[in-house]
This record gives sequence, C-alpha cells and structure tokens, in this order.
Amino acid sequence: MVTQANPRPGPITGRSGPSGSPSASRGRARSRARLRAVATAALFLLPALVGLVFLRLVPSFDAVVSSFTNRLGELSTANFTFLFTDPQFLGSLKTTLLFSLVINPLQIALALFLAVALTRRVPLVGIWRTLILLPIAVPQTVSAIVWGVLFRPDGPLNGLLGALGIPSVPWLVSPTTALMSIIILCSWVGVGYWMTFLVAGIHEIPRSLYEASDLDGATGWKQFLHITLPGIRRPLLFVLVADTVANFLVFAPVRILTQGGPEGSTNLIMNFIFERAYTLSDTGSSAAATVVLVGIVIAVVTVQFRMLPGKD
Amino acid sequence: MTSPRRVTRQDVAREARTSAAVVSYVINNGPRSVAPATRQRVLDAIERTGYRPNAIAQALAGGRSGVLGLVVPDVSNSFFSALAKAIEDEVFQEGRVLLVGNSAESAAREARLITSFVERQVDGLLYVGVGHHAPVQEAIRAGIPVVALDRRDRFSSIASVVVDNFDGAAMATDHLIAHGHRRIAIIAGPSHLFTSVERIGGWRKALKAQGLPDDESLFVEAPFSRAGGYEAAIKLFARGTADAVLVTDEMQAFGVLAAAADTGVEVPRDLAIITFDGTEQSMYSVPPLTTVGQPLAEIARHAVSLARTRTTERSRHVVCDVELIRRRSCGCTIQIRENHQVPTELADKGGTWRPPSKEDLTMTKSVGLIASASLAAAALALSACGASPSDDPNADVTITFVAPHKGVFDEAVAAFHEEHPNIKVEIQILPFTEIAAQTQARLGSKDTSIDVIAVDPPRLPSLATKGFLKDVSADQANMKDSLTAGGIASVTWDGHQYGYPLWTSDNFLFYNKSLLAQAGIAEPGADNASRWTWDQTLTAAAKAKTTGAQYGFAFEQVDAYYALQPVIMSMGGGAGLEGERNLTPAIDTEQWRTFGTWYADLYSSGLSPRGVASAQMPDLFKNGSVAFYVAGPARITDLQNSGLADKWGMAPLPYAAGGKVVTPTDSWAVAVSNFSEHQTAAQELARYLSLSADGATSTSTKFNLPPVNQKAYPKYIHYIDGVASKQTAQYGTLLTTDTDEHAIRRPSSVGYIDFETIVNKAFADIRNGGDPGKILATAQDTLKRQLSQYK
Repeated sequence: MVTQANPRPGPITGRSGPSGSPSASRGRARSRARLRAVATAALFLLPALVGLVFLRLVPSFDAVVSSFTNRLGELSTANFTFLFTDPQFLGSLKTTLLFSLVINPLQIALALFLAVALTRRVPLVGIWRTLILLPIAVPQTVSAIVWGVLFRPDGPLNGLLGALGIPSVPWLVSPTTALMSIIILCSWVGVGYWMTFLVAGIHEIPRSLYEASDLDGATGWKQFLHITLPGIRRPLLFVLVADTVANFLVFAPVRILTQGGPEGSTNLIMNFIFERAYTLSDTGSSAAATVVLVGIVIAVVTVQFRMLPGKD
Repeated sequence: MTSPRRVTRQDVAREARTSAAVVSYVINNGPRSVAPATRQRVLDAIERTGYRPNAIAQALAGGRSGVLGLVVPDVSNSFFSALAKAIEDEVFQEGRVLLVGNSAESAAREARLITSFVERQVDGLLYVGVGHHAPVQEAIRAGIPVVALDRRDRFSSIASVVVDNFDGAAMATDHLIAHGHRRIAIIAGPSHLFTSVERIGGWRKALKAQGLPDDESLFVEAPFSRAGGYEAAIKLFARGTADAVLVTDEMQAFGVLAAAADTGVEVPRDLAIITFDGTEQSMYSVPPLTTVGQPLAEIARHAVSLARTRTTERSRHVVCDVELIRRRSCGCTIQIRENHQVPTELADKGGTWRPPSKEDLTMTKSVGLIASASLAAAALALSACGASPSDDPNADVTITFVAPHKGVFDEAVAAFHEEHPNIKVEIQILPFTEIAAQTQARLGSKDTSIDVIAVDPPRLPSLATKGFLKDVSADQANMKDSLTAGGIASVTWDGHQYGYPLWTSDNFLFYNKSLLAQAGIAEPGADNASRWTWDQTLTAAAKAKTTGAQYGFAFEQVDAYYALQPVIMSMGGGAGLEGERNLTPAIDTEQWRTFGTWYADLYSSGLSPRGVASAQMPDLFKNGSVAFYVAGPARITDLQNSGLADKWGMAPLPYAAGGKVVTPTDSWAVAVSNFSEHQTAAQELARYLSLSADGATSTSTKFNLPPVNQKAYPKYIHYIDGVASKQTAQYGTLLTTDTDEHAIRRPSSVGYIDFETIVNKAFADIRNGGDPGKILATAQDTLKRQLSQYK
C-alpha cells in the first residue's frame, strides 16, 4: 500500500505523449488517471487503515490469542472451560441479556415517541430537544455520580416520592431494583441521543405524503404506521443496531455505582471483564469473556439486520 | 572639639572639602559609590570633627533602627539567658543592639512584647514561642524579618533555627543504655511544646530499639524550672521505677539534683542523669551534669543571619546538630572539670559519636570528652551516596509518581526537587477506588511511564510476585535506622522489602458532642482504659437517633475489610484467610456469620445510612447527621476545619464485650516499578518520602496519618496537637497503645487482592439486606475457586 501511494507529478501523467496512436494513448492516460485516483485514495485512507490495524485488529487478534492461552502459556480452552463453569460469569451473562432485552426496546420506543412528539408544532421545541439531548454531553462518570446521589435511600428521588405519598424505593441497594435503576440512568443518558437520529429521519419524509393522507382521511396513528415508520426505516435500523451494541458495552455507571452488586444483580458483562482483568489480573479469562461478548454482539446484530426488511 | 554645638554633616563636608551628600554616601555605604581617596578623606574628617550620626534620625529616614528584638519565655532559665548572651554577642559585633523581652510563658504577654517591638521598629524579631502560633503576623505585615528559635512551627513560613532534639534525646538515652541501665525514665517539658515532643520521641525510639520499657511509670511531665524538676523527681522516686533519667531541661536537672540530695538518692550510683542544653552552669553542679549540648554560638549566628531577610513563602529552616558532653552525672568517671569553655568551641567536629562499650566508659578520662553528633551527617552522606544514579548522576530525569492522595505529596516533592535539582517529579493523582486497578493494568502491560507507585501494603505480595515491584531489601538497614518495626513489616514479603512505608493507621470512635448532649449521653472516655464495647456504642447511638440524630452510627469506610476486620476479630472470628501462605478462605464460620448479622442489623435498623458511599460519609458526619462515626486520624484536621469544629471528640475504637480489643493498622507505602527506566531516581524519591524526617513529616501532617518514620512522629504529634489540642490530648498515647498491643495487620497473601475484592462485595451485599449466611457461603465458594489458582 505504501509503495502504491506515490502519485506521479501531474504534467507527465496528465498529458498524452506525442508518440503512439491517439486511442492507445487515451487508454493509457485513462488507466494512469485511475491509478492516480487509487493512489490518492490510498494515501488519504492510510492513517485510518494504520489506526484500524494497530488499534483494532492487532489487539483483537491479541485478545483471541490470549483467550486461548492458559496460565502456563500453552494453547488451551481452559479459559472458556473456566468461564462456563463460573457462576459469576453465567450470572453476568444472564444479567446482560436481561438488561438488553429490557433496555433496547424501552430506549428505542422512548426515542421514537419523543422524536415524533418533538417534530409536531410544539412551543419552544428547540429548547425541549436540547434539554433531552443534553445528558449525552455530560461525561458518563459525572452523570453516574450525580445519579448516585439521587438514588441514595435518603436522597432527593425518594424525597420526591415521599412528598407524593409513594413509599420509598431502595434503588441501588436492593437486588430487585438495582438493575432497573441502572436502566433508568442509561436511558436518561441515551434516549436524547438516539432521538436526534430519528428526528432527522422524520424531517427527511416529504410533507406532501402527510398532506395527501390527510386528504384521504388517515388518522394520526395510521400516518405514523404507514408513513413515518417506513420513512425512517434506515435511521431506525441504525439506531437499533448502534443502541444494542452500546448497551452491551455499558460499564461506567455500574463500575461507579454498584460494582456489580447487590448480589451480582447489576454485574453486566463489561464489569465482569474489567474486574477479572484489572482487579484480579486474570487476563486470560477476561479475554475469553471479551471474545464471548463479541460473538454475542455479532450474532444479535446479524439477526437485527435480517429482521428489518429493505435492501437499501 | 569642644564645640557646644552638635557637629553636623555639613561640618564634616566642609572639613573634608566635599559635599554633604558624599558624606551621607560614606556613612550609609551608598546609595552611590565614593572614590576610595574621597572616602578616606571623609572618614578622617569624621574622626577629627567627632561627628556621630543620629541613630534615631537614621532609623526614621532609612527604616533601620540597628535594634534586634528577642522574646524568650523565661530570662532566668539558664538556657535562655545563655542563648540571649550568644545572640547579643553576635548582634554586638555588627554594631547593633539587642532588646530582650521576657514572655514568662504567657501568650498574652508575648503578644504585647511583639507589638511593642514592632512599634520600636526593630530590624528583626527573634522569638522562642510560647504556644503553637506565636502572634508574629503583626511583625511580618510590618516587613520585619522574623525567626523562630528553639521551638519551631515547621508548618508556618517563618524561618527557624532549632537543634536536633530527637537525635539528642536518642543519643543521651543510648548513652544511659550503654551504661547498663534498663529502666530509663524521662522528665519531659510541657507536652504542647515542640522541643518536649521531639525529645520524648527520641527517648522512646532509643528504648524501643533495644526493647526496653517506655511505659507511663517512667514518664513525668513538668514545667521547665528548678521547682518543676524537683517535684517531678520526688514523684519519680516515689514510684521507685527508674534507675536512670533523661531530664529534658537543664533547670529541671538542677531541681532533680536538689531532690536527690534531699532524699538521699546518690547520683549517679542510684540514679544516672543526663540533661539537655549544656550551658556553663551545668558544669558546676554536684556532680557535674552530662548533657546534650546545644551549639549556642552557631544557633545565634544562623538566627542573626536569617533575621536579615524578610519572611517569605519558603523561608529557611536550619537544624543544628547537638553533641553529648560527658561529665559525671551519667556514671562516666571523669574527675576534673576540664572543659572551661563554651561547649561549641571545644567540639571535635570530626568524630562520630557511638554508644561507648562498657569497658570504654571506665577508661575514658581525658580527651574526646565532646564528640560531635554526626548521626545526622552520616544520614546525609548516605542519602548523598544514594542520590548519585549509577549511570549518570547529573542527567536530568523526569519521574512519574502515581498516588491517590491529592495535595499530600506536593510540598514534599517540591522539597525533594530542591535537594535533587536534576530529578523532576510529576504526580499523577488517581481516585482511591481506581488506583489498584489502574496500576495493575499499566504495570501488567509493562508500562514504563510509572516510576513510583503508592501501594496499600496488603497488595504488595501480589504485585511483588508478579514482578511489578523492585526489591529494595538493600535499604533494610536504613529502614531499621529510621522506621518503626511495624512499618517495615508492612512492606516485607518472604523476607524482602518491596516498598518504603509512609504511614501507619488506626481507627477511632469520633462523636458529635451536640448530638450526644442532646440525647443526654455521657461522652466516651478518650483513653484506652475507658474503651467502650460495641453494645455500649450502639445503644448510645440508638438513643441519639431517637433524640434528633439522623443516623446513630456510621463507618467511614463502608464495606471495607480494613475497617471491619477489627470488629470481626474482636467478636472472636479469624482474619478470613488461613492455612499455608494464607490461601485458604475461612469466612463461612460461625463468628463471621454472627458479625454478618450484626452488620446487617446496623443498616436494616436504620442506625447506619444504607446506600451512602464512603466518599460522601465525611460530609454526613460533618453536617451533624451522625452521632458516632468510626474513621481514621486522617479526618482530624478536616473535622476541625468544618462546621463541626470543637463540637467533636474522639475515643478508642470499641470492642466486642468479652472479646479482645483489636485495632486496624498499616497504611500506604511507596514502591518503585520494575519497569521504570529511572529506577535510581525513583528510589531516591521513595527514600526521601519515607526515610527522611522532612519528607515524612510533610506528608504525614498533610494527610494527618501518623508516620512510621520515628523522627517525624513527634513532629506529627505536635502538629496534631496544634490542630485540635483538646480533642487529641490522649491521641498519641492511645495510638501507641493500639499499635503496640491491639493492632492486627491484614493477612499477607498473594491472594489478598482477590480476597479483599470478594469479601468487600459480600459486606456490601449484607449491608443491602441480603441473608448473611447465604452471602458468606457463596463468597466462601467464590474465594475457594479464586484462590485455588495460587496454590
């Protein structure tokens, strides 16, 4: 690649030579031009490719290798055997799947609802959208710490519930509510972000479609089902895939707020991997867990691509 | 020359055939230079006319009065009068005058003296302070240079000249030990004084080093006076416990001699005495006093020279060496009073003082009476050797120091850089909760960008086994010289040292006085004897909760094995790790389950705040929501600077009724990374932070944890006393008792990190209301699985 990325100076390649037939020289010039385009493209792609190789492919390969290496440095499946007999890993796998099953539909439904609502004629719509988008601009650690205070049993959220006459919720300190609390936090951060893509998609839909359907007497619900939803199929697919992947990789709130507890109820797989790698310095099984995670993510995303029809 | 009129500058100018301005330049040495010939002419003219510059007018015009002020606590004390004399000598040589004020150990009188010195426009102010913070701000504001003498406030920016009290006391005690004495008492000065605290520290260190007793029966506190010494001696004789005594002030020693004479105690046969200060008077007592001599002339020279520069942010602190002057009161057989001179001028600066062997003692009769104390010098030389990196001593290097303690190391690192200008130190602060994982991750990938790392000692075995940390056992002898045995033990694994310990730790029962008063609860006693049980504590906490405290009780370190291990072990439980190399978990025991239920109840009853993280706990206590609060001494300054100032107290950590008292111990150490490219420089920094008294004092007073550096310890205690004198009156004694008798360290094991991670999680699950039995059983299984890999 590097050797190809060596564009010739313009005057030589750009002009046909005086010798040779006109057509042959034209053909040569065309192929030279193509070569030059390829070379230019390669040159521009080079940094990204180098980054991809060294920051993505090499570490991934490394992780796969170390996942199949035991403590003595031999090739083995010991790490995977360990993982799939480890109650903590199996627990975290279960927790992660449950988390994904709840949070993805919830976030996308909320994002879609907000997107539709905020593309209507609502007063001060810009401000609302900004407010909903704002949490994504807050660093995850900061939002986790803020929510940590909000979630305190003697904190403001329970104070609010108390004022409304609702009994207080144990939030992060009970195994039954901790995962829900993490879901609330993550949705607070994520929904505005995904909403933005859907808002853009809705704006792409020609207004004339709505006007025409209005004349035909279609209701709002029908318009949503038959115009809006098909119209934003592509951004929706993106949001679905990206959100799913993002939620498989949730880490900071768990690490900061619960460290996986109480009783493993929020031990999402990323937290499990981090703890094995950096607290218990067991790189082998954490690499193996990472490989398992990547496998799951690829499988789920593939299914999602299949589920949404449409070739484009 | 008998002119009735006063001779003026004009007269001199006329006589010297020059202008009045030139005369002025000559008299004031400026501001313009004058040709030598002219200058001589003017000087001759001054001589002939008998001209005298008007000192008062000079003071008004030039702002220089030629007067230095000295405030001492007691002019009749032989040491202070000798000090005043030495300073006066120094000042006189410069053609200036010394004003001496006597504060009579009264802070109010001291303040008035300083004010009137400032009003008299003294050129410099020297003082021996009465309390912790002498009222010298007024002088500093007026631009007058200020120098503290004898008792220094190291933590202020005021320049100071002191002697090495710690080494002096240690040296004197060693000497008494060498004479064969085993029960060596101390008559100490008021414990709020820097000098007393340091001398007590030196005495204690010397005794501990030999495994000799240093208990309360050997300790008497008395004012710095003859009467004080007399009374203290009578007290000591009544106990009949001591066969030798270190008297920390010369005046006291005269009192002790008088008391001995009155009660038929023969010195040195029945009681050997060594005292401090070493003025001429001590030579003429009966018997002549063996004493730790202070180099008065040297002190005076430094003091007067420091008094020339204004007080700045980084003022100089001078520490002078002391020397042991051997006479007869210690048991040395020296017949003639030979050194009829100021001690310093006799000093044999070249010699190195060593505790004499027994044979030596009887033989020594003549020369070498005074050997300079070059312990400090030796230490200096040693660190200088270490400072030269084997490769290139002068190459500039930058090293990175990773620690979780924000602001604690800044001052020490700056001082280190001053001593080692070629080593630049960058401090990286990581949160307490993340530093272990981060260093693990970075060292695991052989990251060279960490040179020095702060490590919690139980984690050392694991890190050392992985080859992350440099083996620094070569420094073991140096560590033994300056650190406590417990401190060294905390960094030792398989007989090797893998780090330099900084501090030790302990937990105490802090309480909110207002909340206790509100509930009508008597405050817990501050000394070891009145230690409360857990039942007592939680009953009182529950009572406080009913009368307005939001929470009755809280641990600052929520779910932390460090804080809970003492409770478990006091209830009769084990440490949780046992067997060969501490690799067998044992947390599924009856005692652990008893503790689990106790811990669960603490939170389910609402006595303790469930779901509040450790980081938010201090605020909860400071804003008055918690009645009883278990935390370490690191909290002391913070509490005193908060809204809770003076409304808090501290008591010993409770124990389980019927069980033994157990307290936590050990604190952070600094280690050198094996992957560092600048290991020599890195090790030098670690040495400075741990082994040097200055480094250790600086970090321990910033962080409020007691240093394991024995020389820094008294300074730390003095500092704490200055922060919250009332609340910490028993603190030093309690800390010593806890460390010597009650402390149990966390188990040493390569699996400690795994153990702590899993156990802390179990504690969290129990706190959140899970079934303790089930949680401990699960954790036991997880631990077994996890630790089996190390076997």
